[in-house]
Amino acid sequence: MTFDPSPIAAMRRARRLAWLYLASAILIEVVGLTVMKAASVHGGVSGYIVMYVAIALSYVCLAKAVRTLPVGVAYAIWEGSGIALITLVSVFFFHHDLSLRELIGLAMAVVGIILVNAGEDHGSAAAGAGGAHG
Amino acid sequence: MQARITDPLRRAPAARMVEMPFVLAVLAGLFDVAANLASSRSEGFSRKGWGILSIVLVLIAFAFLAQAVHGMDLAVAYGILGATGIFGTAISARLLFGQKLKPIGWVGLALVFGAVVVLHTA
Repeated sequence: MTFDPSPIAAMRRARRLAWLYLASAILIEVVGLTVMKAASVHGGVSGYIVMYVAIALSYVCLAKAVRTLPVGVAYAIWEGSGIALITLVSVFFFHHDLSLRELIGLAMAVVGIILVNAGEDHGSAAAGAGGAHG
Repeated sequence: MQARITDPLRRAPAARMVEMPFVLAVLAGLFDVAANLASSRSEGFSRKGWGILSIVLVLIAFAFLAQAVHGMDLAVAYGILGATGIFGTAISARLLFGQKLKPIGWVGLALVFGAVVVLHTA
């Protein structure tokens, strides 16, 4: 075990990488759905092809992420930030005005993601590192 | 094998229009859950079979979703897909992989689901 300096450090590295993969999965999905939305205005199937390819790529990243993260936690965060980001994209790129209802929805997504993250049961990992995630 | 889905709704009698889209949206959610479980089993795509299975399953899920929205609002379809996907994945991961969630985490899941419903119906 000389090449493995500390199991806790190794676990932290794995978790950081997992979060990076999850973020990539979310971004790829949002890009795919945005392209689909932009293309659907003009008609045709190219937007849908981009969407399906993006979803497939997104799932490759999700698979890397859930190697370390619990799949229920990762999926809820994927879903919540996906819809939140798509709403923001429609505000910034499609000049959509944010309604009060959408603000409430965004707040629910953010709080929900924080709570899901806090609710992750580390179980046997027992690193007990104060529960603070970056 | 091609997962080609024909559209049974176009010629369906009016009574079936009420329930079929709902069933299709739930099916989309269930395939999404299966995709997530396969993805988890793939060990970060190093077990290629499980990884490819997860992608096939999620593409089928979206094909079902695309069919569901012929007969219902996209917002409602996403809400059903979200509920089935979010809670289905968490419950299956708990039962199959023993990945537990603290009570606060379940509150978080409910809020994320609420956000999906609120934002899609906005």
